[in-house]
Amino acid sequence: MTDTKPVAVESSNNTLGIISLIAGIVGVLLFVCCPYISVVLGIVALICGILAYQQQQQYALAGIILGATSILLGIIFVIVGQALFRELMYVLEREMRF
Amino acid sequence: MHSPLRIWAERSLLIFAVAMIVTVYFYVTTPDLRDLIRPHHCLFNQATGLLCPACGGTRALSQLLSGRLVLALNSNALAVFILPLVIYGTVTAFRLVFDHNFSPSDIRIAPFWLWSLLVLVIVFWIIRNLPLFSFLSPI
Repeated sequence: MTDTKPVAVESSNNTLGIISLIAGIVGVLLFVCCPYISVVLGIVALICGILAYQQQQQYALAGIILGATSILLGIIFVIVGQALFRELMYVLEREMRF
Repeated sequence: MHSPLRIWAERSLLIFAVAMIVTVYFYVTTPDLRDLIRPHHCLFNQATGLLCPACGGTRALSQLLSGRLVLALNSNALAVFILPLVIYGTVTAFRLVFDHNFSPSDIRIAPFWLWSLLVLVIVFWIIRNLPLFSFLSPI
């Protein structure tokens, strides 16, 4: 009986899990406009998510997945974002001309 | 008690701190350097013509470092309001790594404020694109 008490107290504190989830959501939202911020927020979400997962907090897994996605999308956009965008705009302009 | 992960985290944070201090020092003391830093242009803004929540963030930080608070608020009010939170987050990260009496379960912020932050970012994104709130868009 005494073993369950600390777990109950721990699970009521979801701060790290929520931080992870929110950093992940904002990171994924911002990957198109500012991939550098997205990578930083992704790292925050991933670290907080892993710490929260160890403490069995809510939203931890969602935070880890969103954080990893955010880092991946951010890195892809830092590398190919500008080139991809220029190509896309070029194709769109050509399509609209004809 | 020094696990390889903690040693790795300590070194990363120290390198980060030194890099930040050196960057801020040169940014504040060398005006020519500011011209060399070309901010990454927002792809969302280029594609849609609309502003994202981070548009003007670099300008806001630059103006804040030069002590022009009103101009910084005009460039990106969200960045100015979120800056104390970023500083708190950095201090907490340092405490987690270097203060052995401080554990992740000691971080306690009411969930309401955390969810409010997400709502604030989304609301700021929407309203700064409305003509009525044009004062929130950078000059």
